[in-house]
Amino acid sequence: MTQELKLAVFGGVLPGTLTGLAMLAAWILRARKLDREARSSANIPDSIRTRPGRGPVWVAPLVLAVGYLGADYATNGVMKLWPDGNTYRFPHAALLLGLVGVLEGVLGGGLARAVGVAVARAAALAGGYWMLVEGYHDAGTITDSTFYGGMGVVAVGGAWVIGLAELGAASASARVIAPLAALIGAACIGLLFASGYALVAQSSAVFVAWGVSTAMAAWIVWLYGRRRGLHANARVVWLDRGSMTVFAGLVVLHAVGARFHTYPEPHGAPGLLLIALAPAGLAVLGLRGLHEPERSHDWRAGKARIALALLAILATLGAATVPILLDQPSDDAGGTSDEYDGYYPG
Amino acid sequence: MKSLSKTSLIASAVLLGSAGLLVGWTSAGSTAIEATTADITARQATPYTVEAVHSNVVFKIRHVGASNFYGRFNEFSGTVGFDEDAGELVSVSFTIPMGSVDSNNARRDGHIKSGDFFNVGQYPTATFESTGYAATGEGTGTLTGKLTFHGKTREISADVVDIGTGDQGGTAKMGFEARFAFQRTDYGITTYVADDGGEDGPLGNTVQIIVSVEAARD
Repeated sequence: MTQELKLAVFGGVLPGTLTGLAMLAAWILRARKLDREARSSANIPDSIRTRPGRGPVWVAPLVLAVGYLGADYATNGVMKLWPDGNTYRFPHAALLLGLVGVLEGVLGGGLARAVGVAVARAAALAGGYWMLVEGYHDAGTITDSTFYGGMGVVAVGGAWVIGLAELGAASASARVIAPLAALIGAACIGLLFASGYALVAQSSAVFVAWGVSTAMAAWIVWLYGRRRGLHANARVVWLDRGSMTVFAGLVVLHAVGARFHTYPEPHGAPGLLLIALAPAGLAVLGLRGLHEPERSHDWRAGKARIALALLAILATLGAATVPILLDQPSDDAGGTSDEYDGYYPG
Repeated sequence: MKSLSKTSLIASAVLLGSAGLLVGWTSAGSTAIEATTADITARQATPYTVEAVHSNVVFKIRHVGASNFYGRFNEFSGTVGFDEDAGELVSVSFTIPMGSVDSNNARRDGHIKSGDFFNVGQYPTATFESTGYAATGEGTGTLTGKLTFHGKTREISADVVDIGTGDQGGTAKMGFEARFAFQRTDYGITTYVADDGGEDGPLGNTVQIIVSVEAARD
């Protein structure tokens, strides 16, 4: 199996399928449960009827993290409990984010939860940063100030990015969030160009495939649920309360990986910062509070928020590509053709 | 009685003499062995410093099972302990900044330095420290030592040939060529390795290193 085919199958098709099936099963079971409860409580007045909870939202972050873990292993062929090289620790960082994402999905509401979740996200990002960068710090190629300062920036800044992405994901169903997330995932191909075409150990390519496939799988589940009438009683597929922690958190950590795992410097390093900020554009969807745009009485306002969110994300990603593409190395190997184009096997 | 006693005395004398000769001989032999060992350890290893401008470090790897690809390292440093009398190596120490890899293509160099292969940011240098040398002939031998590369240390054995000496502008020079091979998967580099770990994958697993050294007496 060629590297590209392996990437497509294990990085995209399999995790996408896994994500779709798991979310579909969870939401179908949820819909049936609500149907049974609705039938059994048909005589209870609406005013005192218990509102259904948000459903198994924890399934999405769990399956996202597990899907990424499998995707990275199948593509890289390396999965050690504690790998020697920092470039092989993306699955471990994903697992950490997935743990926080699942906790977000099962914990209740309230201020304490909100504060705890924010702290947990920052801690997960700091832990992921440490996993990916500590070997370079130990080798002396990164100073203490860069290492610890970067950890602080990634933890606090990344938690803000996740929080803003979650705000948007709480305001719109997968109908809106999934395509926008797929767009962000696809644009992360900029990480490849920034990191100098590393395809394997830096895991940039598998993230692109994983990001697009899992997001679109969530959208397909939403579409199926709409056709089958799941939306009547079950809350439609949502990607908040943990899913964005995994998705946006991995965008941030992949930007960290591209920054530090590239020798000597990534191409267009400022672009990596903008890629990391892109998921925050989803927050535009929540500008007018936690309303579902498609259920808003003001449809134009809902569509306007979607358009603004799309514009914000495109503008951020577009701005990211400029320094990255401008900083690509020129072919100074001699001759008139770039023989490196034929380097990739298969 | 007197004859028996005389016989006994003669036999005893012979036995004692033999024992004494035996003890003396073995003592002399061990002394000779100790002396040889002492000579080896105390052998004068004249220090030489590697001259990068007159030396080369080249690597060879199989590409898509069709051809051999060669690359080089443009920077390195080292020292050699050389027994000038015997014309043999005593010790070799070498350091290669991995960022100096040169495959005659800037983009490929960047790929090689990345996490897919050398991961230079995390493992900036490769080092070799010899642990022993055994001469196999005139100007040839086997050099053993520890190669530290990509965060791992392994014992390797290199074939040494063409040990020679010379003079340049009044500076004594010595040189040699060492060749060894290793499996890159042993050092944690698995990118593009065939499923069977052989040589027919996109990139072969075996990497051959040729180090041609010229060093100047300190």
